[in-house]
Amino acid sequence: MSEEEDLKRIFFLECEELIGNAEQSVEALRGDGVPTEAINALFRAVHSVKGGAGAFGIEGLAKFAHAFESFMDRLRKGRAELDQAALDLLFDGVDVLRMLVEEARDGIRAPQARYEAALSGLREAAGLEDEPEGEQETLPVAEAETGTELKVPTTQYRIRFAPGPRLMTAGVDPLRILRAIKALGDVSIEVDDAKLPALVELDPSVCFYAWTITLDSAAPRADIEEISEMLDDLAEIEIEVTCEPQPEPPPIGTSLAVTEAPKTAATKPNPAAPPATAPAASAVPPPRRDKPVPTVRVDVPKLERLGNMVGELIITQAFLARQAASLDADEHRSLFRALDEMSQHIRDLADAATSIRAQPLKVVFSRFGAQIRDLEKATGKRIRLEVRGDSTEIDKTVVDRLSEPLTHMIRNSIDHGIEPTDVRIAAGKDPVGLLRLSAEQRGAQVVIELADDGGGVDRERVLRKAIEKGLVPADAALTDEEIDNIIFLPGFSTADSVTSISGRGVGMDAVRETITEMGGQVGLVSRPGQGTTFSLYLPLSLAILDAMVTVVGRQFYLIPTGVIVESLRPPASAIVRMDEASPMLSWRGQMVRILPLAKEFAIDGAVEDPTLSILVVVRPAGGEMLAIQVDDLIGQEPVVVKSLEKNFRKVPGLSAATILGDGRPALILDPPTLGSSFGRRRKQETTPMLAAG
Amino acid sequence: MDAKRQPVQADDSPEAQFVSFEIGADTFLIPIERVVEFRIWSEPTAVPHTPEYVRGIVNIRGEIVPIYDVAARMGRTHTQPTDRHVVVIVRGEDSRSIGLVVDSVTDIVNVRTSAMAPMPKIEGGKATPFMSGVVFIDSKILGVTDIDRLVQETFPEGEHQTYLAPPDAAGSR
Repeated sequence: MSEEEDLKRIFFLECEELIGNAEQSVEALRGDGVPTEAINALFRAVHSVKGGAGAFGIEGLAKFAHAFESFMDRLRKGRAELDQAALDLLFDGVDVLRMLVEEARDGIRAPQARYEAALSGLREAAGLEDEPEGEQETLPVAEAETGTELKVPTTQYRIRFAPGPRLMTAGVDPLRILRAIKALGDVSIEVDDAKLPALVELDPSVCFYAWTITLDSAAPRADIEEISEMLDDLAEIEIEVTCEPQPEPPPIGTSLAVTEAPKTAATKPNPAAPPATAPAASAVPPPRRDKPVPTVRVDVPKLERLGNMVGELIITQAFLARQAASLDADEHRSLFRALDEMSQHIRDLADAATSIRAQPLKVVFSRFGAQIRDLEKATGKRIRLEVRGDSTEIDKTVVDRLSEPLTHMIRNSIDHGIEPTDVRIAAGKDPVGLLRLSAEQRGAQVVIELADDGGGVDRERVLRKAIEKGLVPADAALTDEEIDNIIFLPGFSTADSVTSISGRGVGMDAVRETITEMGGQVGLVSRPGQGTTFSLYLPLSLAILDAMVTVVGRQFYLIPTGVIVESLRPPASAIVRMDEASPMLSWRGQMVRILPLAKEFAIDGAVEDPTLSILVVVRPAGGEMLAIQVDDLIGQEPVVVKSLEKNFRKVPGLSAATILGDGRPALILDPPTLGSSFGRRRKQETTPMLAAG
Repeated sequence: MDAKRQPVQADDSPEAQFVSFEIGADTFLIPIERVVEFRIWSEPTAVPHTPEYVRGIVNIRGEIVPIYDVAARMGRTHTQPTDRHVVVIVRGEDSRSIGLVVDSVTDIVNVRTSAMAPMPKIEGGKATPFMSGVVFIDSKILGVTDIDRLVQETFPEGEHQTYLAPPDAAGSR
């Protein structure tokens, strides 16, 4: 891949992030947040896209972003009103912006009509109709604006850009860099040709010029640093802050001496720059209210390597702990202390490695605004989306794969959950349907909930359809919960005809499959007339799991601690035998089926009598509550998740394997499928149709 | 059998290397480039809901690798492994690895390509699906193990299909 393609790739990655931010800002504008901040954030996002598009010569995108930005500028200055029409324009604008980025990146052509409509709408609103085409900077910082609270304080930077000998051969046009810097604000550029050799010695493939750029910009220093990071060691870029922004409100009686910007021959003082109020130093970034934390881009394979090494450490540590267990604790006190300390450090390291891979869920959550607006139009229903906890972080792989199932779930809720407006009015409900999308971390799990305030699962209809499709035998006696769960069966759809919204093959079964593949679980709770809540339970990390180590026969079996409710040695009185084959545990006033793991997995040499063994009561989401019977408990520890499928295959009742301290693999149980494969086999005898699903 | 296929002294066709192993009285070959490593048999971790020829899983440099009893897979009597048995870790074309329990690994042999032939059809022979061809050495005919077939066809059709279905409503209450 050439250097330029590499830079472009980075730009597109950034675009995704920026457009995500933009969508969020628009969503915030629709709500009752402070409009100023959202407008500024949206402006910055669109502005950065424009800058990059200009630098890479992606004209359509640059032109559109320019019109968008101009409109934003008017909004910032209060010259345009933020009414419904303006909001629609912004919504549409962000959509088209995304399409244009995708067009430039993947070559999928954006719908021309939509593009033109949005462009002319924005241009009109921005008062650009008569403006000749072409680059025109309308940055607010260039204008001596006063009085508006929307004004963004600017910082004066002095940037020295000295291309190295390899810059041009690596395919980087210095002009692009200058343009990229120019896109950040007001610039004046001085060229330094001191290194230019005599014509006979001139190597045409080397850039001998260097530039000193004075930039007045509202952009944080990180934005400029990003440009220099893209160049790696191909050029030298020095960034110096020569003039800090004017604090807001201006500090009274500041004791700081007013200092002149450092005098350098190459610096041309910018007359438009605000007066210096603080001594400038290159080490001090301009103070900003939302000062960004410095970031580094890392390739995912490098992160994976880090994760793998942490995994190996956990295994080695478990090995050491096992070896040390045979030593006398008093004699080797310092060794044990060191081992304890190491174990704590490794836990912290594992947490840190997990958090590096984590991304906030807003990356996905922010995408649904546009989708919901489209669905509102298509269904004639009115929907309000409430998002909570979108700063909850989860493994990047999970974030990447969540978009599809969540999209489908939202469609499903709007199509089947929320009633048409007239029905809602008749039922005395708010005519606007409410969708609540929330995320929350609970222990080592992240729980995502999608709740609607619709009519709940139409159980009669679901059951009828399931019987029609032969998914359930006609005489099956199912509980409400079982009926609700039918919607997860492959091939199930209540849609009488295929609509463009849902009912096109991808069903809730695909949602469940994707979530299960990531080691997660799906559950739902439905109340007739009140609505349905879907819950996704996802592991915080795909690599490390907190598990209870148990023994059955001569082998270890691990149970994820997240699903464990209680572990107990049951008194004989708590064991209820309705029939000899399947004992139940009477537990906190309910009957829980005992699942002897030895029987389920055909393990030799296990304890048979439940009163002599340990029962681990688990409550998996969307699965049956079970009391898993094991011989003994060893303890709880973080373990490294190793795929069974990489070299082997999926095994029912198991989610993965791990490697214990003795270097041998152990199996990690998957309580939801553990219960259902057991249940299915028992049910098979009576209701074969159900099992065939 | 085509007798003319026997190696000729002046043969200069390219050579391929094979690892030969024994099961019972028979010798089989594995293309050497498919062999990752050899290990002495030790009891693997048993995995439930798998066919009998799957002896369990082991840890090979941080990866979980299944161990197959080749004899059982070929429809012979099950191996009763001892610490004299060898596990050959092999890698398929899709870079999935499996371990094969064999009685012993005997040799590394060089075979000219002119001495190789595709697998002849043998009616009802259970070993044939796992043989990709035969090799003629010193008037003996040795089968070449089809590693890709062994790796891919982990479970025969239908054997465990009931477990393949995703969890459904039947199990919850």
